[in-house]
Amino acid sequence: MALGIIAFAASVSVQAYQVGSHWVQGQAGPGFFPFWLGVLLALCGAIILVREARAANGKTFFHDRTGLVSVVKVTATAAGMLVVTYLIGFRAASIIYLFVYLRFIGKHRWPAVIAMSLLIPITGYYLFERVLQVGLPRGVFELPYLG
Amino acid sequence: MWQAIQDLTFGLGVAVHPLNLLAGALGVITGTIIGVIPALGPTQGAALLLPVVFRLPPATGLIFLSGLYMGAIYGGSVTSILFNIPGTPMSAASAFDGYPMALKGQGARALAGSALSAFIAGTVCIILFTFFARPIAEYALTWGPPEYFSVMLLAYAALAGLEGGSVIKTSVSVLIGLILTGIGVDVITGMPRITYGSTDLLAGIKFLVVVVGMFGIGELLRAAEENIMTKGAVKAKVGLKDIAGALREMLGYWKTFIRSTLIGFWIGVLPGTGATPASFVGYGLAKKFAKNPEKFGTGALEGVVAPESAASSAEVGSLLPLVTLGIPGSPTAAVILGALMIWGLQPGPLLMLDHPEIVWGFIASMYIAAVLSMILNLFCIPLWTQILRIPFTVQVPLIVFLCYIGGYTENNTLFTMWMVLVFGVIGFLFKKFGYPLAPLVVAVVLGDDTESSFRRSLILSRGSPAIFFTRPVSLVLLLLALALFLFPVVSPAMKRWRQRPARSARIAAAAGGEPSSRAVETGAGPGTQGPA
Repeated sequence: MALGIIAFAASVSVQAYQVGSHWVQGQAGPGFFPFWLGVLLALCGAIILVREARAANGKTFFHDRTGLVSVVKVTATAAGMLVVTYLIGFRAASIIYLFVYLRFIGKHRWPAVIAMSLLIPITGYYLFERVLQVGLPRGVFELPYLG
Repeated sequence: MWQAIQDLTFGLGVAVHPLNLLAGALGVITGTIIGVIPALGPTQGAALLLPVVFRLPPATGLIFLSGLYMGAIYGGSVTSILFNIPGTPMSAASAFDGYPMALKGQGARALAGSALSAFIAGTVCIILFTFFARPIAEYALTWGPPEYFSVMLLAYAALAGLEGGSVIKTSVSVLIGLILTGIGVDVITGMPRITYGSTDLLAGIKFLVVVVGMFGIGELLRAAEENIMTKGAVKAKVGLKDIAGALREMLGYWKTFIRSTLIGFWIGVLPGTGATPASFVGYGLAKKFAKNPEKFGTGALEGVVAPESAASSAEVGSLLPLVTLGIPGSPTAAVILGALMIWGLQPGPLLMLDHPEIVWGFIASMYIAAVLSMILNLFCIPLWTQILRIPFTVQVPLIVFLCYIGGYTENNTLFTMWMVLVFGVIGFLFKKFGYPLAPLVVAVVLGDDTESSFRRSLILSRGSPAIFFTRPVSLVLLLLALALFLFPVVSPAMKRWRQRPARSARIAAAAGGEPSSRAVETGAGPGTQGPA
């Protein structure tokens, strides 16, 4: 984590330096603020790195496998939904996502799964597309009736 | 005095408008549901509902948010007391004594005590708020960019000093938040910066995406890892007898109550820090000053009254800097600030003059929301506990679905949905490695203003940074910021220094045959002067 912070800080500072982190005509340039924030962040990252290296490191990141597995499940399905959204649009993707999650991860009964995976997206569209006029993302390939 | 009463009655007039009253009631119900669900607190709830809320007129939307805010506080306490599952972090301290009370079969009395103390403390603080708001806002009108920059530094310093975790980790959180707002087109020169060559990042990273991702998805991942499950449910139904009993017992704790309320209000007013630290400080102080501290943790009503009144006071207090200076006093206040900005309203001293109906309507609606949520929570508790039965595997896809739509409404691209997911994972990692999230959110909200007030000050001073130290108000704010930042470093040293005289005093008192409680009390006194 500390290394990641330092890397992020360095990348920010380098880019800020490129747009001008010095004083232009007696004023701070556009990169001045991000540049010094990046420097400070790298400094904090370095302190944390030193502290963590000194502390005895016997802790495991996840207490047990079930924790890791459920986090991966939630993240992977959520990412998968966005890929499907890119392909066939948000409406169809959310129906598929809810269906897959409820049935295969939640292991709920069929009637409940079907009812929820239709009701939640339909309420969502009605509220956002009709009432609030937010056009939800369309996909590359649109399905009839769903797109 | 007269002005304050006039302001409040004007606000009440706005808040009791039927549409606003309905919005407030809906807000309380939604808020309570959000509060009861462990993965959702008021900050997440407000963030998730922002896309819907900011399409309402500002006054109505704010009243909805204040209802949600109050409802979530009460809802969180219900699960905290009955199931030992804090529905919100700020109600975690209420479980210390509330859950043992529930196990002893006094759950109804604990719930009544919690709702009553939150309600009374909230009322006291709304009155305090009304008196302070106008003078502070009028004073802040004389401020220029240097003072604003210094007060924002004060906000970051207060976060570092009070968050309770490591100062360095809080600083990391603030710095990352500030850098995130710098991404995109520079507001003063129009130059693109830190975009990693991506055109999607040119538009910048918006507050809504960060908040929905970190609090919505991030908390969900954390809940997934911890595998929060509903433990054996404790039956509780609150009747009028429980309320009367709790109220009678609470009269004996008036000292604890006043202490918690004042400390909570002060912690709330301090920029950035909200109800969660306040509730722990309130509990800690009550235990420190109690005649028999060993009863705490075993199911004492006093241990419920102290954190509840402190948390409720802090929530009200955190809105004072928001309304008067445009600086959020807590993460939830930061979300409300974000909402105001989406409506095109600039929070700060001018808001109170230009849109009094919004400010006072909001404040008065908090009062109505407090009444509504107390009634709802005292008599509908069996209903709320049913919500906990919603399986986690149903909550997950529903929250993910809402988070995506929430992030998407920011600028209508699929890219923002990916950003929501990315920030969710980052938020989870932050929690995992012990980095606090609240400072990052506050920094994201204030980031643009921090940078522009810094650069505008330099334009005023023709490039000389001395402007921050030569203007007296700015200097005082900077010194206060420095003190708050150094507080966590200095306070352990001070504690050691203080313990010596206290111990010798106790020995002297014991030798004199006097009860030692007085000596301990005076010995601990100075510690409460600061933002302990």
